[in-house]
Amino acid sequence: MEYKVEYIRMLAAKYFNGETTLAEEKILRDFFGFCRDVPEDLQACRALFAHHTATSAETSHLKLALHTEPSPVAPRIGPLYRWMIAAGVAAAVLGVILVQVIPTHTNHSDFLCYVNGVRITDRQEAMEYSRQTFDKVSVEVQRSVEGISEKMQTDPGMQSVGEILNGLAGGMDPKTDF
Amino acid sequence: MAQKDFNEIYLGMQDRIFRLAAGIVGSRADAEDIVQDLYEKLWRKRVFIATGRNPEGYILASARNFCLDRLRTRKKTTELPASMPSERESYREDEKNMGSIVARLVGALPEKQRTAMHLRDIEGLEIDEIAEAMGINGTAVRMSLSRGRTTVKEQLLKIMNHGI
Repeated sequence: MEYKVEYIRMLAAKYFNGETTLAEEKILRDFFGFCRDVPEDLQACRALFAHHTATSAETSHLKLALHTEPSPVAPRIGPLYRWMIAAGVAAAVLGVILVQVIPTHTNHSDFLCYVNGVRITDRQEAMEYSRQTFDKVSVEVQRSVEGISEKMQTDPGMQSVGEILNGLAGGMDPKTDF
Repeated sequence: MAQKDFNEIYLGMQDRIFRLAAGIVGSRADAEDIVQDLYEKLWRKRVFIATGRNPEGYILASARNFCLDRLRTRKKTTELPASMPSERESYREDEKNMGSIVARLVGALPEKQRTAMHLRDIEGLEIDEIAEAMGINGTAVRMSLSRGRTTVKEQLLKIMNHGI
């Protein structure tokens, strides 16, 4: 595409004011790169753009010495970590159950408790409720730990977390230990 | 960041880092040393680079700061002496090589102007990308570009008029 010299002069003035866009600078570069009859007053601009073009073509001859460490092994979650989670959840569940199972009479032969808003007077029935709740929590904990293990194999951010936990709790293979 | 991702990004930027370093330190050999040394330094921080918003901008900013530190360590000034070939004899000597004249004029600019011109005119970065790489705002970038380009143009015109 050919451009009028007056337009090029206008762009050159903008260029030296630091106001040109990349697209306008490309127009200047193309003009000075291909035009054979550059006016005298634009010769300095042409020399500058010629320098830019030549410098852009320079490349490094360096063969960069890259790190070639092996790919990180999937983080192993220590057995201590698994049991810490299970113990913590169990303690929380038992704590909730014990708070709920508060005798309302001093006579220890009477039994009264509320579980999830349900009034229970039978001790065995209360224990059964506790057992069922604990089983449900154990299943959810198991699912959560399996989900975390899977994430640690694919998510770089989680891998970093896994490395930290691995340092704290020893090794465990998520593929075989869950 | 996976080793492979960081290596790919850095390798893709190797020539750009080299040209920037060569423009600042003024030596091809030193620039290649900087490319390798900077890689080693950034490798240790690859996780932080990966979680950043703009890895390329971070690497360019690091390259510039690394070059300036290297210059200070070697007790060189960040501004090259303003040795303009203003005499008629030196102009005639370089008459057939305007490129080297322009290179010397650009090399004599203050580092900020030189780097801003390099990132814009050589690497084709946008103003905000240059601002991030240099740690200055967009207005300061445009001002550095204007001053640097105008200085080179005025010196070139002096040289050309001397030679007439």
